[in-house]
Amino acid sequence: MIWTVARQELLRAWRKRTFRVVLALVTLLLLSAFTLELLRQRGERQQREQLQAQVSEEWKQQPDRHPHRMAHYGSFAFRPPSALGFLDPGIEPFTGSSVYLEAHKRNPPNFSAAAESSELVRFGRLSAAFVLQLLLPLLIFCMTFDSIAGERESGTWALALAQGTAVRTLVFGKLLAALLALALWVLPVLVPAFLLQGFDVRSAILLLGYALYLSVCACIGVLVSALHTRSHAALASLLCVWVACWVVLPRVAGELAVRAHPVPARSSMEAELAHASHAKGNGHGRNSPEAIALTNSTLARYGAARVEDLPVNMNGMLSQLGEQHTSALYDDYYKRVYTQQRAQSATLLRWGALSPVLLMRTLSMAVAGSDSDRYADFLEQAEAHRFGFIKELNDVHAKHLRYEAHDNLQRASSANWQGFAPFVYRVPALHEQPTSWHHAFVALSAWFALALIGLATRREVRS
Amino acid sequence: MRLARLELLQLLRTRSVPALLALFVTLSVLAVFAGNERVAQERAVMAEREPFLEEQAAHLTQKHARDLGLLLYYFALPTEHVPNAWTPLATGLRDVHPFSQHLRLLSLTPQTYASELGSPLRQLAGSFDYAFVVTFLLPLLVIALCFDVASRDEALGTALLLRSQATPRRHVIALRLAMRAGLAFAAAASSFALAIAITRLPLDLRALAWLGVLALYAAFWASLCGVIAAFKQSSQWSALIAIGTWMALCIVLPAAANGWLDGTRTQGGIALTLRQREILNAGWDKPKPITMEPFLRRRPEWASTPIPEHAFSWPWYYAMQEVADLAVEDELAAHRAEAERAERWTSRIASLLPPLAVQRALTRLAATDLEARLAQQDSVARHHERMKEFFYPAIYNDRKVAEVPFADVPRHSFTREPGAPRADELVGLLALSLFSAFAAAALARRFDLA
Repeated sequence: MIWTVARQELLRAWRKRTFRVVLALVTLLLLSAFTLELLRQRGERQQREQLQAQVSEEWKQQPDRHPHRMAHYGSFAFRPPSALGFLDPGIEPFTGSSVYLEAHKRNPPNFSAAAESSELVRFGRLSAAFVLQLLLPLLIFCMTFDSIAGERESGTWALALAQGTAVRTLVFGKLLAALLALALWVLPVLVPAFLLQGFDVRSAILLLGYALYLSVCACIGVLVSALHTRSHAALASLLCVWVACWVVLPRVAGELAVRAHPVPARSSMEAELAHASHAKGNGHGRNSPEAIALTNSTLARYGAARVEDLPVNMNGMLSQLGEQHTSALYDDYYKRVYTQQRAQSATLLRWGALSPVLLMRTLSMAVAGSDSDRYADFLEQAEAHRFGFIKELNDVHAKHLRYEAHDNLQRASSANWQGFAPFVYRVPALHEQPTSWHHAFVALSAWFALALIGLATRREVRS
Repeated sequence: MRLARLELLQLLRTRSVPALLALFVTLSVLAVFAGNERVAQERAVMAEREPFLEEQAAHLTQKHARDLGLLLYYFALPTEHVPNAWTPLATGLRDVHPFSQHLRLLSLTPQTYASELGSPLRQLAGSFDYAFVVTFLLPLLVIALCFDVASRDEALGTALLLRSQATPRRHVIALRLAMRAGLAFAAAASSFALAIAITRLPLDLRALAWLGVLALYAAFWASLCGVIAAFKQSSQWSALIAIGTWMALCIVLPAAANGWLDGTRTQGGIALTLRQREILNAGWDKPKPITMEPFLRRRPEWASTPIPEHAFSWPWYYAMQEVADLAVEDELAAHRAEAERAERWTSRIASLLPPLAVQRALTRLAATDLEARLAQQDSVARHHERMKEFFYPAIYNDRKVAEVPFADVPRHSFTREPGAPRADELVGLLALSLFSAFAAAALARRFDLA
């Protein structure tokens, strides 16, 4: 019986010309979003791999040098675009694509797409996620608004009920039709796109997540239609819901999240950092209590009376001490930034109770690997790489250069650093990621369950 | 006249109309407050400058009392991009670029592109500011009021009644449309009046120009609704087409244009910073006169400063920093031209896409557009030059730290007066409004055909 209702409903929707036109347009949009983003992502990946290779080649070509010169020559870390970024670029357009790695400093990531753009960047980017998250729900609402209200208007609803069909059968038949239409249309577009990139756990979860999300939207559409006796009123309500929950609320929630958990400005951080290093000393400081303590303990360890008699170069060891100090200060700032950003995303997740698109966005970005956790992971891996090679250079300094008060005219052989490993970003496995997307998934399921209950408990209103 | 009164009465008695108007005004006021608060926070960050400079000078002059070169290596001067009166209304690109950064005497190029870690989640969602409310929600208000100007008669069953009147139906519908668009404009104008009151915006020609833009924008959407109504379809059909048009103009087309501009951009920035670093670093292995040559060509006044060939010296070090900047001047100009190209194309697109034109009119007033950003970049570069002029005499004449008046270090401050909306972009909006108004008028004949 449910299937008959669903078939009827599908035919009814298909007969409407506007529906067919909109369907064609949105399909076209989705396909072109896929193609363009796939091309962009491939181009970016290729370009960054090439730059990363260039940097590592240039590193190897450096002549014999003072190791601290090499530490200031430094290196770069390029953020590879995430594999599923073609589906959901997430925050990637707003995050820097390269970080310059050098001694004493954590430089800010530079060259985001947004920083290179005009005000157009404020209108978002046409990606598959954009179409699926924002435009498809509207299409679903346009498909479902008159599913029940329309039949009431034309009197066929009462007729069907009079024939003894249960309200529940009719309601779920309508929902089934909407879901079938979605599946018939979305799957042939989504699945080949996934296959192109290799189907794995991530794409399976994304597919499931989007299916859940779009089902929630279909439920909302049918439910609102069931609440109305006139289809134009149902349409008006659904359009209001879409504008409020899909357009206005995400922005308001974003604003409130930032207000509640502001990220400190970089210039405030630099002021703080300067303040802290005024108090504690920085990478070049030699007279701090810690530096004196390290010198004394090293002298004691080797049983030497003067730093000149040590088998190691004290300058290199002090450089490393300074590096530890400054990087701890930067770590503290970055940790605060990450904490605030996580708190912001948790706030947005809570607003998901009112707007499923916020839940879907969190889920999609996290699983596609284009959220702020992934970005933080990139920054941390870049920092670990930076700290690693600076430490190795300081070791070279300590072992291979003779101690003098100013040893900066000496050089170490370039063979010492030619074998340093280049920066390679290791993509974290899904189970290593923070679990915010679990919450989003559970919350979306709760939306679905509630909507189903809402539909199941519909009784016919007597008008 | 009687008809007008009746129509107005009918309009205001519709329960949803006052609610919609109130919602629009409330949202705009909230957005203005949000913008005001953001600007206040930014001002607070910028106010940290003087205490910072004082503390820094006290610390550095004591710690590096005998090494001016080393002191200046650490010396940082916070720059500031001071918001103007309109800035709270349109965030624009302000959260993409740092409004304050610590500028050092070292090579300028890597400092030019320094960025903020910021709140990318909000950047993704888009800011909730007055510009958003006007650009995205004002059209929706107009659509909500106007989409059923003609079809409501069929829905209410008053169509036959109206047809029997002496007044042609198209006049009634035109009157209705004008009245509804006027109401939407009144809501927009009063929320702007509230914005003026909240942000204490100066009442000048610019405010008047902005009111004009608002009126034009409302008229554009109302005449689009007129065209849609002239197809004489059901209310549902009209609503769907209107919202579809809104989605195309406000969301899909700008996003597609953004993607296109993004895709056509060559990523010259990274390449030029890579090259600048190579040059800066290679300086350490070159004979000193080779490094000094381009520097002295630019600044012959320091030719007499002795540069020891086999020892480190600060005059040579700072010359090397400047030479690295000079070496990538062409690339910098090319990268800049790239940004200007993006700006030109955005302007062209804006003359075809009214929502973008309106957004740009407001970000121009607020000086949060790309042009303002580029001007800010220039201003920082000019200030870097002023810092050099201030410190070079001390460096190249081998002065003592105590001889440098750190309290008088030139301060940087960049403000941009609100720019008047660009006529060529608004001409597009005007032309499109007129076109759809004429189309609506031409199609309106159909209302009086049986």
